[in-house]
Amino acid sequence: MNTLAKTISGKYLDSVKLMLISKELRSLKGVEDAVAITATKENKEILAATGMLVPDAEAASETEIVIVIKAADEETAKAAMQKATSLVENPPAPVSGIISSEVRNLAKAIEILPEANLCLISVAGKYAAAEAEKALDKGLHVMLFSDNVSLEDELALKHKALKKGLLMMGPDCGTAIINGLPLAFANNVPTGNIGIVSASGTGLQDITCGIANRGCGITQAFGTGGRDGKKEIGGIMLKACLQYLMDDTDTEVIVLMGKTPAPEVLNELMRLIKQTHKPVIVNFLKQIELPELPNLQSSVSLAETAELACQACKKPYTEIDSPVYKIPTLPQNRKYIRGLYSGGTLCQEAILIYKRLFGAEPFSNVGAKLLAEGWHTQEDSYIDMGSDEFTVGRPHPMIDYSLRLKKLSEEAADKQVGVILLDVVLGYGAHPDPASELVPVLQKFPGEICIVCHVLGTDADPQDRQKQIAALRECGVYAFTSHANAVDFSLKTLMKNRENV
Amino acid sequence: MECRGYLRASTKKISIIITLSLRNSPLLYLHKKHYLLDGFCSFLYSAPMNNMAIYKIQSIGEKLPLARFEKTLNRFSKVLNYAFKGGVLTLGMAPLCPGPFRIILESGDLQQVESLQLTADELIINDALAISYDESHAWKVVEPDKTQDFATLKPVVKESFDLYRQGLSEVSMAFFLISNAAPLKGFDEELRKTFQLGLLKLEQENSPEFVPLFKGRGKGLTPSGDDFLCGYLLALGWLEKQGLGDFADLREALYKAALGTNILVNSFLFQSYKFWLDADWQDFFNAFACSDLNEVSHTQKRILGYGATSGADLLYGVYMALSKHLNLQGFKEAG
Repeated sequence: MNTLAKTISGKYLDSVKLMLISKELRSLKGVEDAVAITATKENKEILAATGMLVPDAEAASETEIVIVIKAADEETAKAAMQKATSLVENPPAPVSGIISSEVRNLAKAIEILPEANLCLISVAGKYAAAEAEKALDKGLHVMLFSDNVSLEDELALKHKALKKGLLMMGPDCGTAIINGLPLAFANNVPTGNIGIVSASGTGLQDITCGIANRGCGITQAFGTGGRDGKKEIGGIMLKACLQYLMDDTDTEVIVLMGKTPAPEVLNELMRLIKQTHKPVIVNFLKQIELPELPNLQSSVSLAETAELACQACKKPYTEIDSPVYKIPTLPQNRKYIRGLYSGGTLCQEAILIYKRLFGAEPFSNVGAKLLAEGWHTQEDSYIDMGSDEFTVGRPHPMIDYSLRLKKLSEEAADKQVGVILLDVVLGYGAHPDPASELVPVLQKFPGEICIVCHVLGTDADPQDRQKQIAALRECGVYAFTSHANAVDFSLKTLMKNRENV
Repeated sequence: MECRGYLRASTKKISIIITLSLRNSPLLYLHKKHYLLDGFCSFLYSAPMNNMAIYKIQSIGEKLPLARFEKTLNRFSKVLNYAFKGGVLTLGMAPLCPGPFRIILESGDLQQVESLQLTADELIINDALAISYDESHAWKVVEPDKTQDFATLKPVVKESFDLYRQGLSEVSMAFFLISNAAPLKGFDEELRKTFQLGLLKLEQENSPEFVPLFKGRGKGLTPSGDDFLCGYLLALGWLEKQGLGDFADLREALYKAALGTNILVNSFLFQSYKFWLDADWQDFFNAFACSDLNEVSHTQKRILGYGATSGADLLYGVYMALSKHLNLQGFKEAG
């Protein structure tokens, strides 16, 4: 008889696997006995009693697993042990794209990933500027996810970036797609010939998705951070990125969006646009007077911005079908609308459309007619639940639906609420399956409430957009893929109810 | 223009270094692996970020110390065990049941988890992601229900044992000992002989002298003999709580004699000795207390699913204790 033992170190094998290994080894021809056991001294006693306590087994420590094989001959024992080794090893597939090694600072990170050309930073605001500066000094483009960076620091960083020919996206930049790679909250969008520079995160997402869903694609989608258009920053990155897109031979159409820039910044942007023959579509989230330029078009609707960009490509594109829903009739007491948003720009667009229709703003936590407390809605109210007051100490509502679900239930319980409008943002970084969170809650709502939902995403996003839409529609949600259409439908429902009154 | 063309300087591929703050960064949800450094975590990436996980807490055991846990004893796909002074913390995914030394996540990716830190109101994963929790998440040890009808208890124990016997895995210790198992050889035969001796001693004496014949013996990460001892301790604890005997001295002696195989076993022994039950065990014993055979059978099935044979071996310990101390017959004969 030949007995071989092998200690397993550095591997985690559960009891089931150990049993299976023992069983499989015992089934081999010529194997007399085989065990995979914890090498306690008591188990060693049993091994000794059965003539299996060979030196390798004896040497195993009490916390180790030892495989002991007793076979008719040495060759069989060795073959069985080889089999055992292969059963134990079964290495997990390597995770691509991640370099496994310890990194303690940026210099070390660069040493390990010398080809790195972009640094994405998300640290507490007070450290963010210093980290961004380090990265710029190392010649890395920066996407600064962090907020709470002072205007002075932002200005200094952007000047430095510009001097070095680097991107300085942010602070508070949550979305970008660079050379086809989605960064932070972004969607799976095909490459094409439309370049975008945006000072608005969800706006950028909605437009890129709108472009993708019409069968077109993008070259770059730069985020600049929401304050870039302010007088103090002077639109440094808006201008730099616009210039880049103007010069980029792959980019044939340009989209520029964000809150309305300061007049001097707007002038400079217009001066740049005047220098290019490429069509430029601007969306400054409200109607403003712009110079009449042959290549310039403007829109205040995200969906229309995407549509205009696709039209300007002068290539065939797909029209987005808007579902035709019958406007529901609500009980007369259900007379108010509540908008519960995760995307700030979408919330602002909804408020804008409301104002255009009713001539006055609804209550909100982000507009001119502020709610006394963001959490406590009244009459017609829109809440951006991605704003700071809701995200301190908890994940963004695009990731974690718990707070919004709670609020949804509260609103549904209010017998004066007839319409609830919400956005569901898909893509990288967002919740992996929003419908799985929403449906169980929405199913419990009374049938007399109209739930309207804008699903932002593309069919290539990891969440499977069609599946999400189908699941929401299945539980009675009026789901749209155009935000403007969703808002329009919600307001028509509201108006119908009020007309009936 | 200075930035002209710079994005395509060398390659179309973007390689990224990501620096994350220690707490509350939503970006952490996107990434597989992090690296601790002084004040920050850095990620190195050259691929799209499509790995995301949302961490939600289902329960946190009340006996866990507010401390930092970084030394994993073992890692499995649904369970991580962390050693700490005085025990083992189990971080697991639901439907693993809650327990006094367990943190159960409703969702998350255990493969991403390295360190844990438990504070009074937050579970901090990898020094980076802080998940708030409150009283509603606490899993508390409660006293077991009192037996309602002692007359029906014995028949229910016997019937549930019959059900147990029917569902045994053929590699479990009980199967070897009470079923008409095929003739064994080698290690298994030697193991059976030792356990048979142990059972004989257990039957004859009210002392922990049988313990060495089980301790540290058998297969599995927690050897079968140790599981048996944990089950035995659990049953003694329950009988005592039901006023069916004073086993304080025996339990203490048994516990002390059983200690020593490894930290994982020691931790389970401690929990059993203290009668700090995980949810499944709580359900199991409470089902006995109200003589609800269906519920006993239901929870028993869940326990039988522990490990390869751990559940079966634990239950065997329970039944051996109950049969001895409730003076029941027919627990060792072949089924």
